Amino acid sequence: MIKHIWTMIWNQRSGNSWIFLELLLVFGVLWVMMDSMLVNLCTYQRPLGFDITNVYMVNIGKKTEGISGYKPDSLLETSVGEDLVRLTGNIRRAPEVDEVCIAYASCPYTWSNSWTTLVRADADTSMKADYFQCFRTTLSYFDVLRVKDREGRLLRPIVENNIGGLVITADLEDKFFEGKSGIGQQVKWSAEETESMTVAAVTSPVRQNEFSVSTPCLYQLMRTDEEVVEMTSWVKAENVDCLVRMKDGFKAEDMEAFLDKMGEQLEVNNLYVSCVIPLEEQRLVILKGRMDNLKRKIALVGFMLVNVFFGIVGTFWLRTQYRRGEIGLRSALGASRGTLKRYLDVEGLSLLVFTIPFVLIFIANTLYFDLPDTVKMAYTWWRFLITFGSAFLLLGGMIWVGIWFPARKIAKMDPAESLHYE
Amino acid sequence: MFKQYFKQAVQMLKENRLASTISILGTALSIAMILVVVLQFQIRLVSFAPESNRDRMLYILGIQADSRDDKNRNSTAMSDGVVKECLYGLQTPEAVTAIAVGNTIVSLPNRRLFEEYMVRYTDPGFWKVFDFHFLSGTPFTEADFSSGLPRAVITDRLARKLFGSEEPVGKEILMGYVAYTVTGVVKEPTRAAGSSYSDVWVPYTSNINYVDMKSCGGVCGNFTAVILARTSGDFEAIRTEIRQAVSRYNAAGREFVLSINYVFSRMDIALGANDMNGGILVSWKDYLVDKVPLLLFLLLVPTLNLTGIVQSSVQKRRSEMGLRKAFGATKGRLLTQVLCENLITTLIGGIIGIILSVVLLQLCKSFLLSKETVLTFEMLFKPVLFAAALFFTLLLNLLSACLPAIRIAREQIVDALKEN
Repeated sequence: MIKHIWTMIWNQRSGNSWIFLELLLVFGVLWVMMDSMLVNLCTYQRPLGFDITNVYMVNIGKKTEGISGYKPDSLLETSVGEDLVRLTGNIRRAPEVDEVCIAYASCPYTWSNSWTTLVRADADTSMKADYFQCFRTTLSYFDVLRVKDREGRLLRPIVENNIGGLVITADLEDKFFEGKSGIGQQVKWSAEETESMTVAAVTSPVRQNEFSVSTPCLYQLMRTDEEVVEMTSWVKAENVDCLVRMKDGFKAEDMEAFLDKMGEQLEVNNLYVSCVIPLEEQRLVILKGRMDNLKRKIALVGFMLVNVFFGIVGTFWLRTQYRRGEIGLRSALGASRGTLKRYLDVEGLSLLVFTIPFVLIFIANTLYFDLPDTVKMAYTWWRFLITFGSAFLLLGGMIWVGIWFPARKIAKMDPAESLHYE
Repeated sequence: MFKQYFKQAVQMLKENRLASTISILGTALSIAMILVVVLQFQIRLVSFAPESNRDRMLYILGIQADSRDDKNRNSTAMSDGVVKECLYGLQTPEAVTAIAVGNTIVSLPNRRLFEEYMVRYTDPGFWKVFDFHFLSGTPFTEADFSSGLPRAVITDRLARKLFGSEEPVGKEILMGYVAYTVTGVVKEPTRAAGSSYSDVWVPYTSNINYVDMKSCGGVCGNFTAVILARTSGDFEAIRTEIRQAVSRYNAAGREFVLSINYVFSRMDIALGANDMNGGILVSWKDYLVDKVPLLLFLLLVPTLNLTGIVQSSVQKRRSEMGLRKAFGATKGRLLTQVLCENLITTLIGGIIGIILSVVLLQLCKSFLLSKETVLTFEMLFKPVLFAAALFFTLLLNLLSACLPAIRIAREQIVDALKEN
């Protein structure tokens, strides 16, 4: 049967060439879309290394001269840093709050970041130091964002039990210590430096957002309040990241009532809490571009599928019309309606199958020029099978649905009437 | 003759309903998708309130400040000093405004709130360059500006949120602990008005952070500028005047040398010009390189569909064509006939496509523009949209019907008649 149908397709090549070209074009583009969506989806699903549910970003404001309630420096007995520590202490004491932390350039889903060089303590000056993203945080940061180690244990108790001023991520551990545990190892800022620091703990891999891969990072710890105060000597209090995790069950809509209740406690001398933003909200702002892009791709895939549907319905509808005679003859000779529909299905799917060699050549070429994203996800047979298979199945499904219309028309035909055309 | 073609086309549409529906829907979908791309561009380009004179506007988005020793370059926006010395004195334009954008918590004197709003720190020229619709009150005045008085214009949305149904004009709002008096309430502009949209507008002189900026010798700051020319013919004259003002400014011998590399027109902005590195100009070529592949793809896929259908229907009429040829119809005539008949289908599709594109844009607003953007009649239904629709419809018609038409027109009479 198949050979027979292929002969028919070949004989009708002038009518089939357009739909064949369309299938070819759409198959190629659909594969590209599927591949990029698969990479995005898999990257998106991987663990981030932190958890932002119920975490809020607290923006700190500072009163300036001329504002009511402003206290000039001469009247103040405490430094800005001490005020900041007191302010966060006030927030921490509220029964609704789980934990608060102070950090610099460390809040996820913001544009602010800071980078530093770091080398192993035994590195000599001939080695070129790499730059790594650096988070400066208090220990409570690991509780607020629920950072864990490779085994999934909460990190904070581990950091508290160990000595050392740094925590590194799993990627940095792999890079520096190649399979050995990083805990207790010595590192320094640069090869010229004489003083070294101890690694207190190693986190699970950490990613900046759902669309990026994990990179080696380090956490510079502020174990005491004095270190926080020292930091505010070179970072403005307004630019410090203050993150708060509310207790489980606290809802975002209760935030305004909570802040209202806190009242005076949200002010310490010239510092005050200016606004509180749920990190979930901030996350959407940062991811909007990538999400929009993904949605645009989905819209385009929809467009292609609808077009394939139209193309198949159109082509096969017209074909059944001027092949009424042939179809009548077949049914007169005993072909059931199911058989006739199968004929059309095989004909449509054969057209799709014929595109496969060309699509494979196209895929091989894109791989040769390394166009698919292989940084976020290695190119494996699985990836190929999933993307190629899903593109094929989607198109196949569309063809099957498209043929259903003309097939129904055939089913309605009376063999005697159809034969009349022969 | 054309009337005959038209009648014939309509008859054919009726005869083969499913194929016609599919051709029309396919065309409509393709045209709609293309028009969505066009509309995104159009919204960036055309004028609508409160940016009703975009065709006469010039934009300074970024500047460069180079230290005299050539060691330090800053790509940023203007300080208030640059605005005052280089822009406020310009003679050719009708109006000039400097704008800095910030976010502030807006509260009431008796009640602290914690929600952030967008604030534009600007000058009285702002209300001349843009045409806001005041629901009550007036803009802040020249006198408010020069004395740095805390006066604010707010949107009706913010007014409702803060004051409910009470009249807001004359009342006080707190912005970062400073009490501002509301002088006017405007209808909330659409987010598509990128240079003027905000929740609150205040004179920049009322906030000490925006006055006497000291960064890089007083050159760098947070201000962008919009200049309203009397006619678009003045653009070059204004650019020249700005260049002269900049060289006068630099003659004062500051630590840093100011350069304003670009004064963009609205078309530049629509094409994607931005403030990075002190201004980046995106040419038509760059824009097309970016967009044409997508448009081509949106056009090509349905073209292949339509060609298949046209091919089939023309094939069915081979004998008719052969007969006409035998009676002396020229190739050109047959070609025109097929193209004209097909045009009816594509035109119907094109009209549906226009309506569909607006529906699609509204439905997909959240990821094509932004969720908050309000689409208005005057930003959508512009000549650009209809011209683009006509152009792409004709193109689609030509692409899809040309090959089958040429084929049938070139066929030998004998072959065509054979089937009869």
